[in-house]
Amino acid sequence: MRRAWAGVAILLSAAAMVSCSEVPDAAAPAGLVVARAADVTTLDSDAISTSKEGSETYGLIAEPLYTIDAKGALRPLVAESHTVSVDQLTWTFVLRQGVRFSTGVRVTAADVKFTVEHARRGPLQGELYRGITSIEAPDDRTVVLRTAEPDSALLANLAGYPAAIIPEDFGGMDEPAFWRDPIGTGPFMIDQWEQGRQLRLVPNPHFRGAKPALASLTFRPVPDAQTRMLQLRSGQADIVDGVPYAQVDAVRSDSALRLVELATPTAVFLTLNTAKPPFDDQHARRAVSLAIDRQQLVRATLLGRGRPAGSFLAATALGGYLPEFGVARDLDAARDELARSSSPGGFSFEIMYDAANAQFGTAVQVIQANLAELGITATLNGTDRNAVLATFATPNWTAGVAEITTGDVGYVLQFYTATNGFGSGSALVSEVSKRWRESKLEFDESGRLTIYRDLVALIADDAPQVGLYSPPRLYATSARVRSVEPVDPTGALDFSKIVVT
Amino acid sequence: MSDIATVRRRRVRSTGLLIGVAIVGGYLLAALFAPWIAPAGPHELNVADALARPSAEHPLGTDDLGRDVLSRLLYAARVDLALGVAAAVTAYVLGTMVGLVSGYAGGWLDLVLTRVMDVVQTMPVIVTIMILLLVIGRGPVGIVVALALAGWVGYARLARGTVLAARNLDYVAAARLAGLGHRRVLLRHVLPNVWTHGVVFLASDIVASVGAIATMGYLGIGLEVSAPEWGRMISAGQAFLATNWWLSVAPGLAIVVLGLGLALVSDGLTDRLTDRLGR
Amino acid sequence: MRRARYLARRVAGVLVTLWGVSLLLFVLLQLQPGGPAEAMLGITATPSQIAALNRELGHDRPLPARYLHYVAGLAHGDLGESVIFGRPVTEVIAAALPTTLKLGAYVLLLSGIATVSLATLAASRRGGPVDHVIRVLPMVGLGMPSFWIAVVLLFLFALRLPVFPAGGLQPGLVGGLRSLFLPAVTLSVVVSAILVRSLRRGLIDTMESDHVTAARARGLTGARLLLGHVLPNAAIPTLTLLSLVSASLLGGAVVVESVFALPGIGQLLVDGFRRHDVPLVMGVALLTAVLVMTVNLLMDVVHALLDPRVGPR
Repeated sequence: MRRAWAGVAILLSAAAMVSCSEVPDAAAPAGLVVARAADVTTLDSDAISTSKEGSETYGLIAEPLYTIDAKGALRPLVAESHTVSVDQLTWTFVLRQGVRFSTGVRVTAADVKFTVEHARRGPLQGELYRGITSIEAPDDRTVVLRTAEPDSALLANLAGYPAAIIPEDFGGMDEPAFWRDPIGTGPFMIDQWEQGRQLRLVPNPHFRGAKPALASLTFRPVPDAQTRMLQLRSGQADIVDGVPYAQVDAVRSDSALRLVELATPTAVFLTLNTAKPPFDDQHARRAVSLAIDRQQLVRATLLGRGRPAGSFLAATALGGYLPEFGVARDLDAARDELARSSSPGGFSFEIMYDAANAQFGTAVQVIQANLAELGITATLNGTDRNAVLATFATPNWTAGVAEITTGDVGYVLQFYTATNGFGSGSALVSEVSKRWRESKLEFDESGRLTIYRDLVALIADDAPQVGLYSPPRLYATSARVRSVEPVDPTGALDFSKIVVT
Repeated sequence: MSDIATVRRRRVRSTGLLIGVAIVGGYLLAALFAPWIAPAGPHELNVADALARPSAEHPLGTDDLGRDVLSRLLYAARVDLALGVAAAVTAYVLGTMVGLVSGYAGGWLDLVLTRVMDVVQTMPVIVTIMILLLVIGRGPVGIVVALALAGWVGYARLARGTVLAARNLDYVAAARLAGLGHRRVLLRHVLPNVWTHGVVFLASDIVASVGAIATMGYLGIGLEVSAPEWGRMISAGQAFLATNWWLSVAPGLAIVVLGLGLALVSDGLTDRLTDRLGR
Repeated sequence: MRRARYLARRVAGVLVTLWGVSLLLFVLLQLQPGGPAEAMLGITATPSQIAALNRELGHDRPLPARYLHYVAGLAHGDLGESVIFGRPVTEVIAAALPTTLKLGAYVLLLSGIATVSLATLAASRRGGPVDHVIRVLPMVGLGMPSFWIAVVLLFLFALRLPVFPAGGLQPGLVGGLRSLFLPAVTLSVVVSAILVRSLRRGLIDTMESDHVTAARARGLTGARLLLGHVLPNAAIPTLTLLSLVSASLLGGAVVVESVFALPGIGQLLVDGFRRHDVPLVMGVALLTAVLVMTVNLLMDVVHALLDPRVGPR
């Protein structure tokens, strides 16, 4: 009997010791855990544009010459200043003093030259930089770029991830190894990366700015939104990127949690394969665009917290512009278009989408119901995000749901041409390419905007892509997390400023 | 004393069987006449009226897309029952054939087939279904095939056991002695037994079948996301448990009551059989 | 000696079945739409990567050669590389297995208590209303999909009354026990439903047996009678059911881990399926086969030890 009590006592004290050891040391700076929807599969600066998680993580590690801040203004980062020649063909950059890589090595003009030359070779986004005909480094702190034609987008392009400054010759590493552990001048550097589990960053000791207040920053891929919220509530995560709309009110009324809602230029849209039936027929595409009830979509998917999208470029990226065609539902006009198409009795097709994204799941159901009223049967194929992206590059799809956050409109347009119209093979790709080049020559802000708006109207009319809705970016954080601010227009957070109390 | 107890027990058993048949019959009728009974279509959505509480117009309220829950419940009966019965019957036919061959042929064929049965039964059913779906692909046909391939073994063992037992029976030996061919012996003496036992097993297997389909629907690996299916409805309702808990509870009750009905039928039939065969 | 030979034959049988499972998985791997190399590399692989792996796999070699390569890999514990994690499948599974095993142990404990209590209650009040209720319960319990039980429990005990966490595996001993409680109860419902009927019957039969009558004549009553004589004999047929239950349990774990967001092998299977990580799914499938057969073998050993009647036929 006594032995039994002793056993219980030992068990209890063991449990006590185990639970006590969980209490963190309150004095030291705390680590932050961010739960987000997808994993980082690569940090290769050319490939990361397809992954929000990848690009935002890379943005914490490497910095470009200039950056676009949260208000959309260009700010110098690794560069200190620049001058442009009168003919607008020569750009001279002066680098900031005392900028070092996370290895401690000082940044020189040679590194910038290497970075830009590497960016130009990128299969996906290299074209952004091919207008640059020569790069010279006359001294350690000066870089001279020459372009073939005036390029108003040069600074914005140099603010992109492919041009984030990396060490010359990848710091002596071979390229694949470098992209597993990239070296940059940003506020953080990689501490540990366990694919599928977590990616852990720690402050860069050689960062020239104010040291981040975090001891560590850990990103965890948690595809299910409910599970992410569970982790936030139980303390396993401090920030959740992507909050289910149904829980917004619950988070607001919970004093232990905070909701951060950022309006971002994100658009969710349908991309249609114009290379084969039924969507090789413009009338069929236009019928679909007219039949979709975008108001109902916003209500169902975002519980009203967003707005319709008229194309893959969000309205806020175009100064609030929505094209005329398609945004408002017009069933009669849709029937008319269908009657003029090659399958006037209706047709059926398959919509591919990322099944892990609950928003998409809701959206496609609404679309299916909307189209059924017209006699168009949409079948829904929920699959894996990577599968969707990979399938776009093949001819084996008809329609798919995609999402783009526009940091810079020219950037997205180049991406459009590089991916053959997001895989749609649209006849408009050459037109987009032409107008993109035009916009680069246009140094007047409002002039550029007009070019973009005309282009969007053109795309909406032809409907190779059908805009659906624009969601805000929702974060939920524990109440202990403070100074949660966006670092750029896409709603990525400035983790160098975040504090855990 | 014991006679009264036996009679009372028999009446309880037949009551059970009757209740079971009534329940299953009710489900079949609901599934068959769903398009006429249901207040609305299963895909008719009206987002403005989403998550409505039960009312005269919507007896069980609406879901997050404004679709009538009762209607979807009824249409889901069609889907779950059709697929569940199709899968179970396919497994029944396939398994019984294999079991008969195995039991009757004996020798190395029996050895190999029983080993195959061991292999398939080793993994949990859901695991087998998943690896089969990876190859076959999703959709209703894929689901039925995967379930049938995962579930035939029980029937096979049953059939095989019946054949083996029958071989040793006096009347079979007598029939063979009288010169009746293998096939006639099989058809006239063994098959009826296999048939009746198989049907009893089928009744309880349909429960498992429907359960598996609902599980796949819940996990989102079965039919498409908008299809009315009990498991999928339970999963979709989970986000709203705090406010509209019946969205998840009602489809589950539908499955439970069906399971109860089928279990009562299965048990009742078993009792009938044992009474009749005197074993 | 007889027993040893019997067990040796059982082990041999297990190995043959395991080989059968590996063969089945190999065949399914070959039947993958797109081929095994594509399945292993994932859908984002480039054609050159696929070609390279095909060469490495010896895809140009005939089928038997490929199978030998596969078996050789298995013998080394090489189950391929997970597409999602970019790491060996064995590593990924090893990290997730403890959670599932803990859950399994918890379930066995809870359902053991429930089964013994309910069966004893029913058997001792045989024929009465209590007995009838306990006999009907399994019918209801077996018809309940485990994920629905999980959702109902979640609703009642994590949302309405926030007693238990609504999911996730929390660190620490107490946290772990709390997080695993509702999942364990969920699965215990099904397991108990399977076992109660059998144990009840076993108890009734044993209580009427000569062996127990003799013990009672010797003056043994109450707990000593129950635990010492009735239960061990009554439990034998129920223990054999445990091997049936283990497959059910693993299947249930797949669903329950999904509902409660527990990082066990069930979750791996579902994630692997959703993201078409074929090596991972096949690896978990093989592991479940191994686990089930291990339990079966253990049950046979226990059975052989307990029941003097068991032996080679």
